[in-house]
Amino acid sequence: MKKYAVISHEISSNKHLNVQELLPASCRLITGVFVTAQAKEIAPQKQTTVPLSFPQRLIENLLELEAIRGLFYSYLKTRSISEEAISFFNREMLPVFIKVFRERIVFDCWSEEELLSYKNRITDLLDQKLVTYLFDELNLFEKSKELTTADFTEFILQAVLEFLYRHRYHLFFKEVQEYQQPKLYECGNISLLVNGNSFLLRDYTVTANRKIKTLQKEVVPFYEPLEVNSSLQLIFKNTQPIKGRTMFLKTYIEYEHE
Amino acid sequence: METSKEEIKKLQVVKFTVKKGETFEFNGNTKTEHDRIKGLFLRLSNPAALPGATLRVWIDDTEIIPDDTEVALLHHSDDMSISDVAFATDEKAKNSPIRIIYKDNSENLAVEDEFDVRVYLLAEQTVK
Repeated sequence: MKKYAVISHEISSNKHLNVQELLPASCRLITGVFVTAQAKEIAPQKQTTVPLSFPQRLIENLLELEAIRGLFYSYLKTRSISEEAISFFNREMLPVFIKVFRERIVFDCWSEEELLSYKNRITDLLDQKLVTYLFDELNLFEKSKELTTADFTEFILQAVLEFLYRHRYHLFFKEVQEYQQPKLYECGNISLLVNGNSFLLRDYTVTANRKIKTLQKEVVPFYEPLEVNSSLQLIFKNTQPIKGRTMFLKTYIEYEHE
Repeated sequence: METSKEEIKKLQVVKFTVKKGETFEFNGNTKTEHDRIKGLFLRLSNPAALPGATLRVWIDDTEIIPDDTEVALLHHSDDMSISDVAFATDEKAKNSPIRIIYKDNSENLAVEDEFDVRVYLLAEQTVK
């Protein structure tokens, strides 16, 4: 069964490293090695937004409300010219949409300020863009002549749902503070020497802040039989010293034990 | 007359909550009905707390994961298969003790004040 030994070192600023470490007594055969480096820095938090899930079912239920459905039966279809239809929509229907979506869509994770901000966002969006979307993009006035009243109602409701879905990232999000993960960079070279005479790694480039995924895929395979109480010389040359940044270097030795 | 034995794969989940910057020690036991522990991996409720976090694990009083091992090496993300991530081991279960020391190092990361760690033990149960 494979086992692992971990050798950790903390390196500050522009220091190099030259140390000798004793390997575990039960370590008789090194089967792999890998090295990771993590450079931490104090960085300011960044304001960012996280999208919330689109409340499709809620919006569909709201669109089923009599207050909204009742508006469409015959009214919009009876307008003789497009300008009259648009004027009627703006005057009678748009305020109802705005009122319902402002008051009835609430996320528990929003604070008072965030809720107010959402209300302003949805009001502005519906006010400025819904009419253009329905009448110019979807040609609502022409559609009203082709469809039955029931189908026309469904068409508008579906169009409103789609309109809100298109703008979901603008409407439904939460502001959070996020730490900007430090960028990865080549921080230096490492050499590993066993018992002073056998190189495991020689001037191996180490990349700091790499996103490590799986242990198995990281290991560099070796076959290095050892005597009892073997030692490992670790030489690290810092090629990218950055003032104020501390680096944590970890060397993992995979071995077969007795 | 020989009776045939079948090994069935089982799972045991160990869950604990870690506060930001804290070292947490978990002590528990494997399930009595499980025979062997064949592997383990873990998941964090907040993966942003991964960088710098380390752990140490014993099963049945044998050190499986040495001190200072990065949690990232054993952490399962949604874009990986469990078989790629799981750390292979072969220790006795049957109510044996499990000890986990988890060291969080996320003080300067904008993560929540606490998060959940779930350690998944891949077990085998022999059925006659």
